[in-house]
Amino acid sequence: MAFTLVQAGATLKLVDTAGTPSAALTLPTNIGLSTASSRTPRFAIFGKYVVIVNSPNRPLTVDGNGDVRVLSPRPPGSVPVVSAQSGGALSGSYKVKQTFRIKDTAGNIIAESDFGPESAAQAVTAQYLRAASLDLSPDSVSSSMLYRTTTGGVVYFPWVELNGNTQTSIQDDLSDAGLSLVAAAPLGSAPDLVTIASWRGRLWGGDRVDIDHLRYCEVERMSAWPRSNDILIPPQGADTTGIRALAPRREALGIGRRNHLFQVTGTSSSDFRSIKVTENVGIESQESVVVYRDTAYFLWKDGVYGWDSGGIKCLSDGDAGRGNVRSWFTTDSYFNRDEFDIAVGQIDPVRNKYRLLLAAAGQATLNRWVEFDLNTRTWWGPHQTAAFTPVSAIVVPTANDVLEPMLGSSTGFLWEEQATRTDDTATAIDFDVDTKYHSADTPDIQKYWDNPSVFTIAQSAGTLTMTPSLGEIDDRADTPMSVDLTKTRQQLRRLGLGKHVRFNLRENTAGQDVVITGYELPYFEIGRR
Amino acid sequence: MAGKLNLFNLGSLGVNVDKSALHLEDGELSKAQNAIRDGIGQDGALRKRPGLVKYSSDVTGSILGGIGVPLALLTGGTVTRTTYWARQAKAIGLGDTQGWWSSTTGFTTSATQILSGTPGNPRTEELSDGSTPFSGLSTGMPGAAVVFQNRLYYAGTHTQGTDRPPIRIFDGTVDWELTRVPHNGVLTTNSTVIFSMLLVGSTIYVSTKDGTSGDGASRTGRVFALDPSSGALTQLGQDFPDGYQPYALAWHMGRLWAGTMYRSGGADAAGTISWIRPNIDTDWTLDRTMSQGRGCTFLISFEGQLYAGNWTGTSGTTGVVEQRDSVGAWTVSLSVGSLGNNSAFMHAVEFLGDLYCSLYNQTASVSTVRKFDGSTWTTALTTGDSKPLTTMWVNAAVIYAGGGGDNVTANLWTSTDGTSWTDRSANLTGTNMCGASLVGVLATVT
Repeated sequence: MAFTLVQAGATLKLVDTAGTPSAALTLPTNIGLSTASSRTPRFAIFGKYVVIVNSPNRPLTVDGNGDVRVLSPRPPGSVPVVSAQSGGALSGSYKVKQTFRIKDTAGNIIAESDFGPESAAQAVTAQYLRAASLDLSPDSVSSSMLYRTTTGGVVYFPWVELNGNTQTSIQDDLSDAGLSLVAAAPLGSAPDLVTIASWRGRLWGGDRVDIDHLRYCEVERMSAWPRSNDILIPPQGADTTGIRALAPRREALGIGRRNHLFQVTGTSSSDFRSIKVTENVGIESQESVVVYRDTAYFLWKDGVYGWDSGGIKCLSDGDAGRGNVRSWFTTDSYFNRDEFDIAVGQIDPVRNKYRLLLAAAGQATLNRWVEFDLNTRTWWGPHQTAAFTPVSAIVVPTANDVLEPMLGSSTGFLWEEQATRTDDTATAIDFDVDTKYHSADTPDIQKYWDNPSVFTIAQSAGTLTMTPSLGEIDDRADTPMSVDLTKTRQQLRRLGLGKHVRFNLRENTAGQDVVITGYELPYFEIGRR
Repeated sequence: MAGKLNLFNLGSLGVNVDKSALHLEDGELSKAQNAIRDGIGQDGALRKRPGLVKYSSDVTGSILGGIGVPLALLTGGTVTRTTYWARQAKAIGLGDTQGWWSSTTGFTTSATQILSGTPGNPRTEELSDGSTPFSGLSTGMPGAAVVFQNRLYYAGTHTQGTDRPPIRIFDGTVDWELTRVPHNGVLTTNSTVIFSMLLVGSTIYVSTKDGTSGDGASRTGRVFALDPSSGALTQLGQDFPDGYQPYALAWHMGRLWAGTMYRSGGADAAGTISWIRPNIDTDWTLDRTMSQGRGCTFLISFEGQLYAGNWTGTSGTTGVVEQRDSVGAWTVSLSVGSLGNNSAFMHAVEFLGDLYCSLYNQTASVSTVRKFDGSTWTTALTTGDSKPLTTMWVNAAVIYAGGGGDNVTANLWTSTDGTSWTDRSANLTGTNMCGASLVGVLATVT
């Protein structure tokens, strides 16, 4: 059965499909989790492990047992002291290197550190080769691995493994011919990653220090990050944030900077290359990025973009004259644009929507959200709730492996949708809709607006308040009308004179559903004055 | 002029805040707070959004981020861990088809008996010198069962001599045969029994006892690498020398180590300890002949050193745990004298950073658990029940030690700290049964 890993405050917890959280997972020694808004936890699934970066002071892995480990152990720091020991049958001149390994209970290698420093060459003649003064790891490791050259060689081969983290010497007389035929695989310490993505069987991430460099691990070896696995994402030094976000699509890895979008293509270290997709579009927030069905959705300064095989398109600029909500993102009337860097995106796979959490104008918390309907390319919202303050958005696998979009709150709960139109147990949902100003295409003609008929799906109870605004476009609201929601059709009072009319539709009762199928509005033209 | 607006697309066009008021289309909205197009059943209509209700209990602390993980959760309240422990009749001969105990409570309550059911009956064998069965010594170490990818691989029952020993798989629901141990072409016999299995990575190493039963010559054994997916068995190195049977297996220094029992022609000899590097070496390298006894009963890697326990016999009545340091020097780490014949260090596990091994003094009928913290040996448990602790395992932060043996019914002791032990023997349902060294724990998510 699946589960959900969350960072709650400065702890990691597993939430099962019944919604029951575990106790705080035990973090490795000297590891802590930040709760700063700039250190939002970022996750990737790699094999049977979840990798978490940015909030911890070192990248971590978590498995289904709740075991938390460092992604890469620190490499040995001291130089092995090699010597010849009596006995044995080895002859030649050899060098030795040490690594640290983390293994599971079955002996599978989960992580291996970078190589420690190389020993001096040691000649042996029908003797044992001993490596002493081996380093002990400050991390919780399972063993040390010793590599050595063939006689006079420079290529390292696996030699012997020293179980545990207490012994500092080992010796063996294994012949060159007895060494593994395969040389030591490339290793390297994982950098302090701020972003993470799984793509092409590798982990990819942006470095907190080398902010313009994209780093990646070896194929299927999440702990091995050779320094050469590095791609510069220009312009180098052009800003203080560097790589802001990653967007792994099927055949391309998107890399967002403040004002650029790049993609990496290729299949191996020999042909990975970065290509500039566009200037003047970047990614504001890693958390706004969602890749769904090979389309990456993300927030930039002037709106929400979609990037697919057809290119990049600003979704909030509308399509064929519809769905234009650019003002949401380019004015200060709706949202606090200073907080775009903490915006959080989510795909609702049930209703097929891209949901984006934002801070209301003048606010610093993610207390609003808007939705982009992927089927109709339309925008809805801004929505809000009085029950809690959203902080994060997570698609949670529930029982029977159903994927449900949920919101994580500042109060420590995951929130799922329910059919009942109530937030929490008793908080009303404030349904508040403004229609267009109707003019019957004759905005300069005075009209008499007659009795509107409202069509709804009948509910067991409830009343919708329908407030007309009559007159010119900027005229005030008129006397509200009540729509009985238990009826499927209701004729309301005559509205009166005006060139325009629009309606505000509002309902704010806990547990009350509202389904409006439409309205009819008869009118009579009076004339032009 | 009269007219009528018919507006039935309120839930179709969504919000448009960029057009002027005059240019909005019918159906477009300038605000849709908590209003949605409901594509699930009410498409076209305008509907209040669904409510939001707490899914989780309080996780305590702002949920700053998270990820849904499509992997098995192996901890927490929705996970049931069922321990399967093979049983054998306490009467001479053991090896009978007495099925398993199963427990979902770690034997804190009465265990369930599985007789000739699912999983199928296991096969065990009591060691003997030809006339006297050795109390409790049966199967091997760590034992003839492992759990790999939440499936129990175990030695199934068979007719000795006639059939080749099967390796079976039980996934918690279905039980099936994976493979059988190949015929021994050197001895031209079938293996007698599977002594031990050891999981290393995604390979299961399997050791066998081959050759004649009883006390005759031509008794040896082999070690195989088992591919748990295909069932392919590949012999590692050559057959062990006559009389030497690979009873104990361990993985240490990147090598597979085998400790042997010895019995041939009515004579005893000290057990040996050999290693091989699978896929590199073509034969076993003898690393140590133990200083005492007639066999190596356990091998375990602990803090970078290899530890081996012995079985006493006429060739030595002192119980020893020998230690191989990281540069290959063997010394005696623990010595317990005057044990007499047929006593043994029986099993060993690592628990909470310490090494634990069980010791049975057959002469005095005293069973103890010894603890080693890396520098000092202490006695962690003296059972007082005169029953051998043939098997030890660790599950869910609890250490288990139990067994019984020839004409000795089962016992089971558990501890959460290695210091305070609880006797769970009363929960071992059934009479005249003892436990064998086949144990596996399967997790089920409810």
